[in-house]
Amino acid sequence: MIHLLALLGLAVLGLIIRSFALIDISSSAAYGMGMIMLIGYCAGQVFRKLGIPSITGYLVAGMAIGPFGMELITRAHVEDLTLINGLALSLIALTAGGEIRISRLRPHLKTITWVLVMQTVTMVTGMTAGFWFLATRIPNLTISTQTGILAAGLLIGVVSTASSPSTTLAVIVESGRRSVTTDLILGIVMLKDIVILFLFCIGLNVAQALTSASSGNPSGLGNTFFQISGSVIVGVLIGVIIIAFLKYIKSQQVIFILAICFFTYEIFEPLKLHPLLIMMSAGFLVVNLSREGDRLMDHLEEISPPVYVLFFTLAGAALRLDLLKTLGLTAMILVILRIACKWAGTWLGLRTSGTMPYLRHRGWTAFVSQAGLSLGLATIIADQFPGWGDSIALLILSAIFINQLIGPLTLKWLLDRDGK
Amino acid sequence: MNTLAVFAGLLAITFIGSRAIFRQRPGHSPITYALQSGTIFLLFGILISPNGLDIIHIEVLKQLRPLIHFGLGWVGFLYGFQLEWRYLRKISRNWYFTAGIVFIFPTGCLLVAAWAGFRYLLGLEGFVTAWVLILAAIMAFLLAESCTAFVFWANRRYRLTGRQYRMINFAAATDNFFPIMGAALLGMFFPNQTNGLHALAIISLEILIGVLGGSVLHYLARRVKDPLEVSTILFGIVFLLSGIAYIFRFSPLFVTMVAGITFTNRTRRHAWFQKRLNPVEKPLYLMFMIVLPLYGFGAGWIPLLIAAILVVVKFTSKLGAMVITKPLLHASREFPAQAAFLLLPMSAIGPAILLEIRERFQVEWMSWVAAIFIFAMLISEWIAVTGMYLFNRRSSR
Repeated sequence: MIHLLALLGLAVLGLIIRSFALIDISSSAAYGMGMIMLIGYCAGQVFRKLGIPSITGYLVAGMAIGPFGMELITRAHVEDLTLINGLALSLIALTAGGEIRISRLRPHLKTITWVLVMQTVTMVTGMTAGFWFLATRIPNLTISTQTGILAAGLLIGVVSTASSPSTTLAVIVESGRRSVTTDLILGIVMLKDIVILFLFCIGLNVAQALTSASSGNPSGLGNTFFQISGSVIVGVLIGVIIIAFLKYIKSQQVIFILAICFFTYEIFEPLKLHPLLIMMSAGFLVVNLSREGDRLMDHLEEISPPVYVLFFTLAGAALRLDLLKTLGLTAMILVILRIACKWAGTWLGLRTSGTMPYLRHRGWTAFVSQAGLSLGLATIIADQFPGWGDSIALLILSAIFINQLIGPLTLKWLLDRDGK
Repeated sequence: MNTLAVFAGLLAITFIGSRAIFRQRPGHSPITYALQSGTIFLLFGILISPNGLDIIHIEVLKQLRPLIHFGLGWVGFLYGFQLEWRYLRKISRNWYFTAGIVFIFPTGCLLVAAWAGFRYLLGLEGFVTAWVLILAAIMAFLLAESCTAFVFWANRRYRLTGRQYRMINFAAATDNFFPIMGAALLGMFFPNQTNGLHALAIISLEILIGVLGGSVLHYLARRVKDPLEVSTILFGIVFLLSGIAYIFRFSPLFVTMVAGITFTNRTRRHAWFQKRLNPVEKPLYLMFMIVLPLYGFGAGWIPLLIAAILVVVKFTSKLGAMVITKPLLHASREFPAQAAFLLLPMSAIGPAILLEIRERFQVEWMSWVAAIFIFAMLISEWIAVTGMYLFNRRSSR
């Protein structure tokens, strides 16, 4: 009750401030930060009381107060606070890497591999085919040739395969459950990001060959290989630094972890390496090859609640609600198609591996959420294909918006039934 | 130089600096005190400022604004948090009276001296009288307050014990209240800024927002057990209040101080909050000290001369105030001089208030004010350290 009251009070306060401010509210990033933290936190608590994951609460709160909602925080606020995004993503990736424990995954390696392969195959083929049929009915789509449609479909297929490790991890952490199912889900989601980075580069090259209309520098396979291997090497180095710090310097460990996450993102992202992969590798190394893993995970669990509030509320505020007006229906069809493909892929994977029969029909619910990586890939599509890239990116963004709202709910539903 | 580098540098310097300074033994020598004191960060700020080696460009500083606003809010909240009525009411009225005299009398003397200095030495004859008075008032309020850390150090170093020295400690700890109040009221006196009724409305709104913020924090945090959840609420409130203050040109220090007072008088988890509030405070103060000279430092002989005069006036007026209040404290004959040295250095609230005034009013003359203040801060500390050393050496003989 108190959180609901605070939520309403803050919303009214925000509206008053917006109306009577002496200067543009955009000029105070501190105000935006405060609003995001408090409204996000209260919304998360209200949603949790309703049995809905806090993440959904943060996202909905972000959308409500964001530049496409009540405008209590502006687009400038969202841009000013991108520094927080980098820190949060790095922290989430470090946690995600730490969650992949070889000892726990080894017994399920066969299952993970099959689900990964089957999901990727069904997603890429299913989504490409689905888009092929839908393309002529999509408003404002500027692709005229059949090869163009095929290229766009292929890219949509690859991007749709991705799930969101951050959302998955946040919901699992909030549920407080650790089981074979959660290990399996995390393993698949994390490894899938690496597979998708490779697949996307291949898809991009194929699409460019099909359309011959790219403008930028095509990212070749060699380039991709360099980026991925470079990220892993840097990740290993950072992992070693973290191990040394945790082992020999006993004080201020939380501040050190925060600092290393922040600087890794800010330093290596401009160098075209993948901060997510770097931090995942670092987390993986610390947990699997040292005795400091438990301490790292304890610290990360301590830091995670405020980081989730900030990151997901900010992500909600950045979601473009205006796109839904024009692309909502098409996006909805793509979301349904994606869910169908996820179901098929998961069912096929689990059936082929011959394990976990209880997850065959409901396992797909763990892979619906979609965020960080997919958003980044959509931006690359918009950059690389000036003719039609924008409209495809907008379509992907609209679908991500819906998936991100549904994803936490379906995953929580699965976790609530886990073991029953 | 990009934001990241600035942020990284400041973070590293203030973090390492605060550890180095505040971990030292309480009774270390005067020379190491002078070298390791927080004021060394003022010199560092001057060194890297556009007036010095020009390492940091002024445009970059704009990107540090959220951090500065947050810092002001945090410092204000922490100060208000310490004003718990349950303890304050137990303190003798004599002490309040003495602390008031020890602050107000020097403030008056400094106001006259600063006004004369600005008018006749700095060449502000052509300025509107009200402007010169405001400048002089800012300077007087900032210079009249004292540094608790120095009093603590000197008490330990020279084994100064007894009721009167505890009173000096109390006076140094409480006199931050006056400049914070002064900063809040400053907006009322700006020419063309407000009329009387408007000014009253502003101060009422500042208090209302602070009380609301403190109450919301209390109700949201009272049943939460998870420390990080409480931190999320606390950080959110401080960010929000300082952001609102900036948007409405209010004083972030005052608004958050009111929030801190409201909260501390309602919560029952003082120790818990104190433990979490304190570690963030010290690096923030050091950050203020580095950032202040970066915003403009009108170095020159005249500001240095004015600063020296003001320090002398401060010393003599503190001495005068101590002589007036000596009978109340039943102190010894040599106590007033010793107390004047103890109360001579200024605390880090000064840079915070100057930064706040600059952020709120965006005034050009701040570089002169900043220069005079920084010089005065450095001179007063060196004089106080040396003075205490010589005084106690003579006494021990």
